Amino acid sequence: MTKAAVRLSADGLTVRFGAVEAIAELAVAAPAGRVLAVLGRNASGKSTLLRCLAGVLTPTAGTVALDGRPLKDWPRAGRASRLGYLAQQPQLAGGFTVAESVAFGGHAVGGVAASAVGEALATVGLEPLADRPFGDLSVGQRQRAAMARVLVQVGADGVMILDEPFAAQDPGEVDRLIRVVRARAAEGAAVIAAVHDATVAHAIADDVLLLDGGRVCFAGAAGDGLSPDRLGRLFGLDFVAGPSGPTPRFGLGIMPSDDSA
Amino acid sequence: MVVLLGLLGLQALLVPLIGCADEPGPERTTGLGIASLSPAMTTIVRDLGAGDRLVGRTPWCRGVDDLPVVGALDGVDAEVLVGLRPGVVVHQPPAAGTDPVLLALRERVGFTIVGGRLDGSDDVIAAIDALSAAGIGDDSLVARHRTAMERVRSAAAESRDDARSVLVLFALDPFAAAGRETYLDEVVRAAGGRNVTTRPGWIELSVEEVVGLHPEVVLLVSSDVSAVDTLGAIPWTVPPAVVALDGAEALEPSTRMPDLVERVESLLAGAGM
Amino acid sequence: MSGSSRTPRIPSARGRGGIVGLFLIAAIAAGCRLLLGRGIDADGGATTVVGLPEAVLLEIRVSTILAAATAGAALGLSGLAFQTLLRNPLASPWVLGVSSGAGFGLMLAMWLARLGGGAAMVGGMLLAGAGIPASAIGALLAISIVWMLSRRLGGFDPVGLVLCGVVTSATFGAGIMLLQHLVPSGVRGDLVGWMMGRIPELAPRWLLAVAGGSVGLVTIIGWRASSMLDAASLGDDEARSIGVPLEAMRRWLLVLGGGLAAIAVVLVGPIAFVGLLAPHAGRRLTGAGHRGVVLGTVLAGASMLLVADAVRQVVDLGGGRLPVGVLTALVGGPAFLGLLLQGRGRA
Repeated sequence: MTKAAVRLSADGLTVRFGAVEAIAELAVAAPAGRVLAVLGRNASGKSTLLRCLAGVLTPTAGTVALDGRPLKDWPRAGRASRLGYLAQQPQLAGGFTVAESVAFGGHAVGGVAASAVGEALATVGLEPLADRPFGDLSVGQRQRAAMARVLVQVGADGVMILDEPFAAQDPGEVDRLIRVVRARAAEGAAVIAAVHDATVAHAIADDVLLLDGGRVCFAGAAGDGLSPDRLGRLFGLDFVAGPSGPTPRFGLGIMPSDDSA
Repeated sequence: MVVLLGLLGLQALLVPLIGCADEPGPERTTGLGIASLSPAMTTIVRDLGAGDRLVGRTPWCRGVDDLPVVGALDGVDAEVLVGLRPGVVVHQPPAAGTDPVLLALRERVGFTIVGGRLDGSDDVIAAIDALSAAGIGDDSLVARHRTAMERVRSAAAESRDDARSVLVLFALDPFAAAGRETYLDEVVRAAGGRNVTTRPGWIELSVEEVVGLHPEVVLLVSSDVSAVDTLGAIPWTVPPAVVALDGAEALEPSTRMPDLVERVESLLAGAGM
Repeated sequence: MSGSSRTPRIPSARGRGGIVGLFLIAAIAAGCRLLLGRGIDADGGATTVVGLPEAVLLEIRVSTILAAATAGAALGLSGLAFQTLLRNPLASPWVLGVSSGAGFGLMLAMWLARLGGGAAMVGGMLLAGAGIPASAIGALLAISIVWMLSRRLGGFDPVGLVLCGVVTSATFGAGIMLLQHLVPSGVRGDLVGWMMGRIPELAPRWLLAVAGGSVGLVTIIGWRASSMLDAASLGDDEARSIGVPLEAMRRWLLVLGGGLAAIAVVLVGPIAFVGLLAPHAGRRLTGAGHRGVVLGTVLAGASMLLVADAVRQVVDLGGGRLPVGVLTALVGGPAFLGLLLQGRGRA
């Protein structure tokens, strides 16, 4: 890969919920083979941005294009097989099993091979739970099951929109998911992931987008974006450089913070 | 899919059964029995001397408790009706028209349907004539009841301006009164009274309206004794005389209307100051 | 991707077993109803008789069986559509006030038809076809109100939905009473029987054909759309992202559910609980996939009304047969409360 093609791009994205402006005038580009981490405080518009990019929320203004073609012009199946979305809180009603939930990834193309479902479940470490009801899973397990569904859905070089799949995982599973995402990117996938944890962002991202109040405060290479200084200003908290990226220093109360987590 | 086909198959099996049942059996005969779907019609049939021909009733028919129920609020019990093989079905059709199930059954079983709305003496006389035309009733009883009904009709037609004003209440919570063009209105007029209400039909009244009508007599069509207390609690300007007309026949527009007239006449006379 | 080894599509073995079981129950109930009837004993009283009857009675029974099975299936499918539409296990035509809405539509058309002039023409048109147009309009109005409220409020929890349905139902009930107040008193009694719910013993054949055809058509649509319905069990955003046309699907659910509720109301009146319980029975017995659930719901709904109608042939407490609505409510009421408790326990 020399000059990676932009798979997913957005321009002028604005979303208003009534009088509240969730995001304003955002521009995003996700090239093949790269992982873009979106960071920001709670309610900074990360999820809203990701929902627009995944095509499940229609923006008030602005456009999203997949492979150069506006999302709304894509046929359903073609779009679904190229663009996958992992929601922050995956839900599944009814008594479907974990394996069935993963197989839904192939809905738009008329089904999916059982072997692919098994493979995807193994990749996220859920193979032993394949036949358990989805409703029995913990939040972290549900997110991994949804991750497996996305893997089945979009194929190796697809575009994956992941809304914070790391926060509810134990460190071993965080590591597994990071490796899954990096492996996909290495195969040519374009990934956009909302991330809370700077060390996770450090491990996963090629590029970062820092959001504050629905606006971009930084967009660029991860090395530049993930500086203790920038993160400190973004989160209102002191960060120090550590061996695995910038690390917050909790409990010191350096800066007044109202709603930061 | 297989099950769906099975279902359709079942339907396919059953539908021809409907088809082949189209022609009624040739040996089928309908009897002389009368199935009644109306308490008032039951009373008329019995008064005409044909009570022993009744074979089916409603849960509210009087004096025929041993008979099977052929119709209730949720409609006709088709199988019981067919099983009774009635020659005649008597009913009071609702304003919307005769129950289509009854018409469909008539088409298949071949009984005669007799009946109409019963809102006054005219309707009762018409019912007597229709029953008599269908061969129901003893001729002398038919003639007697017809004459009695005609007397009620002509007595009601003689309006007297000096007649005492009567409020006919058949329910107190809320107050419900018999208005003009009801059989109870006719009974009151025939008995020498004057209905204080002016609207037609069965009327709901407020306490103020009841007071404001200034009736001289309140005729209670009820056997509920506590009703009298309720009426006593009303702040009348001039308290009316309260008389009660009890008995279920008072609630039926039937050949009992002449009896009702007589009873109301004596009640009104007894209520004289 | 190969077409050879796709993930096992539902119904699973358990689902097939459930469907066969439900089919047997429905068939046995229909068989019992075919053999159970009412006859006259030696004393001239009504009694329960067992056995195949003469042709006229056979026609009555077959017609009743078809009406009961069709209405039960229509109520069940309508309930399933509403439960899927609102993502709520307590949704059903009766709970949501859709049955009341259909009844209101019927009453309104009857009232219009009495007015004379242009209103009478409109009323007459709405009452064409046993009043299916009138009741369909009322049913669609009711479900649209509930649906819009649900959208505005960001969805209902089960109990909130029941409250909304109670209010919708009471409002349409008040409308029915208002119209009854406006029509001549003689007409008021006409609707009492209808309000109690009854299974017509000799429904017009075209009505049975229309109702049966509609149920069959919706069953086939549900069967063919089952994988979409399955995928729509995901959260809204996730379902959209995998290519489920949620908005279009919901429009169809609303229209088909409302239409079937209207047909059921025209056929048997506002019978409670069958529309609520049939989808649950279908799910319990056939598993999660909608391919099984759709069929299971059809069979469960048909079975419920068939069993209720068979039971009422043998229960006569002196006032004739029990109204079928009384039976379904006596069984359905406690079952509904059970579902409510179960939902609370899970939450």
